[in-house]
Amino acid sequence: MAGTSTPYSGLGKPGFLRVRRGGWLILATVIAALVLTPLILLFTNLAADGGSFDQLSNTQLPRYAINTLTLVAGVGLSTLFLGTSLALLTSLYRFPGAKFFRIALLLPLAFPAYIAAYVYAGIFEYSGPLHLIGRSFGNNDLYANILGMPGLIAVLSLVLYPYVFATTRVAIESRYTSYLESARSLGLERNALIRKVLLPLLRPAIAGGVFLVMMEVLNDYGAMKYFGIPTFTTGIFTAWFSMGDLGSAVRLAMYLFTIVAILGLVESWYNRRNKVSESHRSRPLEKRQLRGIKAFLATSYAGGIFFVAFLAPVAYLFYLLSMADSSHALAEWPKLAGSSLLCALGGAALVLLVVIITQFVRQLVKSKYGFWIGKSIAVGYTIPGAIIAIGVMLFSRLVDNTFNQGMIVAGSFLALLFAYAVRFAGVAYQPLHAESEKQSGRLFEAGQSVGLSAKNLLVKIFLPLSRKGILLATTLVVIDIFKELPLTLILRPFNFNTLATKAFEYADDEMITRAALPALSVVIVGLIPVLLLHRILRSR
Amino acid sequence: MKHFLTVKGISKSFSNANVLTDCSFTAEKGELISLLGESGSGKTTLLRIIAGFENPDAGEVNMNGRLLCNANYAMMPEHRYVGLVFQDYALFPHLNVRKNIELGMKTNLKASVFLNMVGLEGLEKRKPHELSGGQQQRVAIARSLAASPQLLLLDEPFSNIDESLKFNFRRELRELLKSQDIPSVFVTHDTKDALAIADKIIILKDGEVRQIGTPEDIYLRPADTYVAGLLGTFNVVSEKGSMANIIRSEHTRIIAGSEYQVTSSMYQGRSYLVHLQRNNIHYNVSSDTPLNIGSLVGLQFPEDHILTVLKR
Repeated sequence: MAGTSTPYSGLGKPGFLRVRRGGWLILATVIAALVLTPLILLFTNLAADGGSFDQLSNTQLPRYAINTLTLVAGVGLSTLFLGTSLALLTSLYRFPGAKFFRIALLLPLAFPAYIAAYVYAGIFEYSGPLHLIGRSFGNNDLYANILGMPGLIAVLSLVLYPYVFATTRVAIESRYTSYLESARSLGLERNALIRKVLLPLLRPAIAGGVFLVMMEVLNDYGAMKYFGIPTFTTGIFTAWFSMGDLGSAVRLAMYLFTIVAILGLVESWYNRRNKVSESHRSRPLEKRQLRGIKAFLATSYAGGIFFVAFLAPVAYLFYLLSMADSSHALAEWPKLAGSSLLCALGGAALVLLVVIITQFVRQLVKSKYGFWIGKSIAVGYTIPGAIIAIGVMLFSRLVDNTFNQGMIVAGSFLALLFAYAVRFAGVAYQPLHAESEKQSGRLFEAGQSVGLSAKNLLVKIFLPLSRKGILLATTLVVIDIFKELPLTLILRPFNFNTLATKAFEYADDEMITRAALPALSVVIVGLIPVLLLHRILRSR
Repeated sequence: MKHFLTVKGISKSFSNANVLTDCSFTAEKGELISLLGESGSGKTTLLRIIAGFENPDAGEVNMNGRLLCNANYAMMPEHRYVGLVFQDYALFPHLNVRKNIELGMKTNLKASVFLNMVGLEGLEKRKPHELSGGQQQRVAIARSLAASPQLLLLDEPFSNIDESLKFNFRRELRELLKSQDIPSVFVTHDTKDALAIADKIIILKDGEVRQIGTPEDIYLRPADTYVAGLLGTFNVVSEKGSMANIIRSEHTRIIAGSEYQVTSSMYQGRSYLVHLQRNNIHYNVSSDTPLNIGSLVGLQFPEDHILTVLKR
């Protein structure tokens, strides 16, 4: 024991940066670098061959830009109205069915936009159910072609408003109670209270929800394609699939990325400007009972939205399913479900590896650097799948070219899983980060003071204590991958189909009855996180 | 003479604020040392440097012939054989009492041996949240002892214990630590804790060691007015340059007279603490009986109780 022991931590001369746990920090850095490389490659590839981009920019670019921005603004505004009004109604008032609508109005979230698109188009088309019902009542004009910009805005709004609904509801019910109570003690009447105190306080939460909606709009490909609205995202697909023009795809991805970045900056600026400190008391706000015509209107409004956004499309999917050739549908279902599950579990495993190691290292080293490494891997979730797909494509080609191996990584299942990790690490980051924030930093120190090594801290302390977060993260990531479309479409190996890609392909090929079973499977799986979300909202 | 633990010239600053300046002390086997100071005095930082959770900017810590850390080198906490009992105990919430103790166990003994040692036999299967504060603290101590430490550090071990239970706790903790024959260093801001159980008290003020000595030394022969004030109230009898002659309140006598006016009289349980004033100078005196506010008395400062200390 005598004498100087081997130095365990990284050393330096006095004044040099002393790096503790160097090995772990390097591991986390490498992981974060891998996750970020596809995005960085997009920037570095801007200088490379632009393919036929000049021609594209003269003909299509203005249209892409106008359509993308119109969609984002249109869906943003209509979800702002729908989400906020429904949240205020269900959180501040009692009316018949109010309790049911609190969960029911979240359910449309289970519909991926690309499925909703073909379902609504089907409902309204000439041979659709609306027309059939109308005809049985002697009305021959009950049909409409909703394919077009207004129709797409309406469809996306109906499946995306729950983001605004949920964030606003949380804010109303758990955050500002004491401000409201103090406003009442100053003599403000209820309506003035809502207008002058509550709504201004809710601004950041509403903006947060609308921002999520806009991100989802930008991430969509299937609905835009089905409705025939050319945007940056569909442009990326056209450039890549129809023309094999990676140069143009990269440039279009960068345009899309610019919009995402600007939206992100606006959101964070807006939230900083409107920041209100939350009050810690969380007694639920007392609700007012609505009676008579008011109660009827409230129930009709909430019920109407629920019917249009969830019940009708689900019923239509079941109707389509009943029309489908069941032998064919059932024959291919197991294989599709298996592929979806393989993608989901493989992707989730990779995501968890990334997030667990970076979060563990963050807690182990307790430095700003560790914090930023942990956070940086979450950035992919704010970036549309199509952009990530192009970045991963560039990365796989770089790897293939570096090792001179032809197309080994590009077009492989591995590249697809890696892309899922880049896109969805942010989904797992939230619950795991929250869980590890709850853990007292002292626990790691206590472990070290009884002699546990870093590896044992991970296995015996961090993992068991994070198991709830890991479980929640796994569920969310698995389901997100189940529903994922644009990434999978671009990067899937040749002849590889999941429930999501098949549902989209059938719908795109006008085989809507065949699309029903895979689409319904995706929707049912998608219900799980919505119910989880409801539980989380309720427990707050 | 070689000491078991040597803390030499430790300095530490956080973002340019000095937290510790040139702190030194030593400890021997079996010795129980108290780091006493107000909050912000740097005592917890010093403890964390010895445990390995902070690195010093200057100075070094040696234990049993091993260098634990200096400005260029820091042995990992898990390799130091230094046990740390945290203020909030930091028991692992997902493990029961037995597993908490076994986690870092380096002996062939059973967890129950350590539980017996802290008087908690039979609670092996409980989870930390099913224990009282005092029981949790004992589990934390048992867990540290099971890891066979050569030095035990305790951060504010009495802060979460009810005042009414502290008396027994102090006695039990001292007996337990003494029976282990390993040196223990405990941090406290409570003078009574330090006086009751320490063999040696180290007084920290603004990151500097002000005095090291036995409890009696510190109480009876404080180095300066700060130390004297930390351990009880006193009155300044006279001042000369940087020195002051002081006398403790309980040694100051109230006699008949009219020079001092009573400004308040507070009941303290066994006696009253009486505040008096003369020419805008304040005095505190212990009295067995309450005195009327506004009444006039005399004070006597017996020569044999007067201490000469540094003014600071």
